[in-house]
Amino acid sequence: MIRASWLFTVLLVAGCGPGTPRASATLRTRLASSEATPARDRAPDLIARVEHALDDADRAERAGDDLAAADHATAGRLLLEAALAEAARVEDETERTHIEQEIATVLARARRDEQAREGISQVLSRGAAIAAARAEAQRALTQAEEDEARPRRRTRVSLAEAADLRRAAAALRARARLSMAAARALGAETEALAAAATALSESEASHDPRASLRAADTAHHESMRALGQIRASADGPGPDASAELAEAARGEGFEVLALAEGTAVEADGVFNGASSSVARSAGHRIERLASLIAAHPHGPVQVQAQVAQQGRAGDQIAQRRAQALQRALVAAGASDERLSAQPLPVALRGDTPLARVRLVFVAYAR
Amino acid sequence: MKLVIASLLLLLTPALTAAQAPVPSADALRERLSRVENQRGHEVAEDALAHARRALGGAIRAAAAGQTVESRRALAIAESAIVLADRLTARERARRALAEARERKRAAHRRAAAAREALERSVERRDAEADG
Repeated sequence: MIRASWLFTVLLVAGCGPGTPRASATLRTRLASSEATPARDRAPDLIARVEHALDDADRAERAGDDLAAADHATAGRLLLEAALAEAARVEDETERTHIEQEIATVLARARRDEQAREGISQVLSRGAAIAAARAEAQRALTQAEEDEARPRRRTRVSLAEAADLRRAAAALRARARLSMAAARALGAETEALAAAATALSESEASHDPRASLRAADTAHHESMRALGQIRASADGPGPDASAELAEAARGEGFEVLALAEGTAVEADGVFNGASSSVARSAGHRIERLASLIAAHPHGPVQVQAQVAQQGRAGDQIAQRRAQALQRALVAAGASDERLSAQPLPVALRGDTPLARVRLVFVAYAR
Repeated sequence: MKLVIASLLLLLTPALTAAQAPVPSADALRERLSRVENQRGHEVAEDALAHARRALGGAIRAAAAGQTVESRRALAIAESAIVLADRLTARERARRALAEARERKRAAHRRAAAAREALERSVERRDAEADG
């Protein structure tokens, strides 16, 4: 029994070793330090292997095998470095994930801003295009009215004036081409566009800037009529039709009002003084209105007039003016069946009586 | 006697367990080493890879000399060095990806700032045109 106790003591002493193991001491200090804390959280499998290797080193050292202890400690050191690298990798990946989320948020914001800016730019561009078209149309109208009022005016024009006329003609030709292309896209036959194409060719070929502008104006109106013909094959105006009508009318130099009854186009200069007859100089204005009616072929168009004079007498004059304008529009090519003449409704006259005429496109309500 | 046997088991069991811990073969380690060497970013782990190569060579020589225990210890070191090389390489890839992400973040912020500035200019222009 004594022998057995002695042997147990000897084995226990041998097992416990001579003291603190040297090979693993440094590594155990590192393992316990804050340096290894992230690795404990992020690479627990490797840390377990480190501890296992250090245990092996301690056992080898206690057994007196310093070489084996050093080998196990080396393996433990390599594994500890691997655990630290793994912890750093996980940390980098976590940060990268956060950055990717931030990038997604920032880019979404940037895209929203870019889209908003694009929307504003489109509105501004359209506004500028309408303003330019309106200016050119106004130039053509002025020229036409001058020609109408003074048919025998001088035939020579200054260089600056000629350049203005050519620019206006080019703008009108461009608009005519766009309307023709739209009509073709909707299925218009070549024959339907023949009048516009002929006027377009005449405008391009003419060396006289005034004649070129007149032909361009004709091409523009003919192309709008052709577009209206092909649009008429549709069941009704499309969702953007009232906006398109408003833009086209503004482009022609008319004022546009969005009413509950429909889109209203107001024209001035159609009547002179207290006359109930259409002014001689208003021919081109009426032609433009007729083209507008033809290009927007759906539903009735109310021809309304108002005069400065109030009461029954004023209503009678307004009625006569509306009828005169209706006849003039029909003579310019508008469909009589779609038109009706009436004084401007009392509810829409406002407090101050004004002399004005208005076309209300009933089917083109926003 | 029972006490002696218990003492021996107490001392020898961990040693036996450690001795029986699975160590990959030299061929398996060579294949893993080759895989790490072919990974993108392995340049940063060149020291660990060299260590693994040396340990692997030592293990093969020890095995040839019949030193099985020494060979197993050398294989364990080689395996640890390969693990380190693999983690260092992975960390390097993560570091590069992080640097790239930081750069993209800066670019995204620049784009957002430019977009906001352009939008504000457009709004000002629209308001100015509406006013006048």
